[in-house]
Amino acid sequence: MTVNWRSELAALDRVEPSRDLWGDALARAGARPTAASPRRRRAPLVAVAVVAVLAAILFATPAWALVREILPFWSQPKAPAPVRVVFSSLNLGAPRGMSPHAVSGETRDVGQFTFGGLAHTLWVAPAKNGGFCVLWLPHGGGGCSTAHLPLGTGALLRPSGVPEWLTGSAEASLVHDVVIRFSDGTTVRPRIVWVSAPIGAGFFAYDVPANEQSRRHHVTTVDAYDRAGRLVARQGFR
Amino acid sequence: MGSPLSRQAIERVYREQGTQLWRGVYAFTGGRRDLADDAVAEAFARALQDPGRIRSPVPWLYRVAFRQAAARLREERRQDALPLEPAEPAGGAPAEAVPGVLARLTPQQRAAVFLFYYADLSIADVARATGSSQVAVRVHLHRARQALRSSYGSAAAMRASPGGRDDCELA
Repeated sequence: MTVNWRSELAALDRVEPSRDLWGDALARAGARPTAASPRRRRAPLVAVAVVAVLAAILFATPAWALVREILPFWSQPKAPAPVRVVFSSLNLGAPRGMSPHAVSGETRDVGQFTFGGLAHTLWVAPAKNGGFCVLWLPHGGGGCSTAHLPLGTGALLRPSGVPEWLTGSAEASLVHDVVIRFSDGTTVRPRIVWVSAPIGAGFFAYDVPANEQSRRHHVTTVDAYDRAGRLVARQGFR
Repeated sequence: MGSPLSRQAIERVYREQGTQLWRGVYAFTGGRRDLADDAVAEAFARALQDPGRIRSPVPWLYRVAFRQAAARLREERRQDALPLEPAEPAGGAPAEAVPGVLARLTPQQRAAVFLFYYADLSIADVARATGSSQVAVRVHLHRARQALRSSYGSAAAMRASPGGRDDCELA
């Protein structure tokens, strides 16, 4: 009896990575210091030149063109049981076929953000069918993003409809920069924590200053830009 | 063995071999896309960190990716039983279906079968890619064939095909 291995393994021809991993590899490599070698240690002038070039790049390059650091998801602290239970509950009560299938056992702590007068922990869990679910605990809410949209935002709104604080996520493969715009024309770039696969997204939170919460002065949009600086998504307020 | 690589050469390897490497890790992990994504990205990231030290990139990348994936699988096995979440599989995203043949093998056997029969690496390169000896690779391949033999038993014989590397005598 003979088995044709090639035909048995042919099913693998139909599976491919769901995204281009090269950018992920570049980001991971760029986020780390290069291994030092004796040649490098003996060449301080090279280091000075590199610093000078980097300084020139920093001044000449828009923020979205800079290499971003990516937090390795699997290296982050795992969530305690109570948090995992909350993530499990995200799968309950969804209409048939609409469950996000959050993998609550793999929930990770990806950072601390202060808004609304409180320090919040951002918990993120991968979703079984791609995407992710997030919770900003204790009081920032959360949700799931399984449609790979460029930008998702959450906000606490005053009765007048203007935001007191904002939270959001940006798809890493589509978005390179997020800009919050105000009615007076000023802008702010929130700190974004980029998280590696399987999440593949960046997360931000922004505490709107009290003097920017009036009907005259308030947040008008949250804009997402790609690497080339093109607007790829916009969330408006009021 | 070749000469030390440049970053451009690493990118060329990614474009030409990245998908196949990913499929290898996907098979190794029993159909875990998340682990395959992570392991392959990490392997190329490490290659980019110091490309000059790599002389045979394909076996090197396979070895790093397999080790990364194996470490992740070991970590998941060590995890607690997650008694509060009976509906969730312990240890990460669920596995997709891998070809029936592979599902019956151990990760090491899957890696050896994939590299030898699918990626067409030599026994020596399979050994380099898996970080094991050539003898161990031959043992993994032999046991993979044994596993197949026991799976198929004496049931309907599979269609024979012309001889060569693609074929495995089961009886």
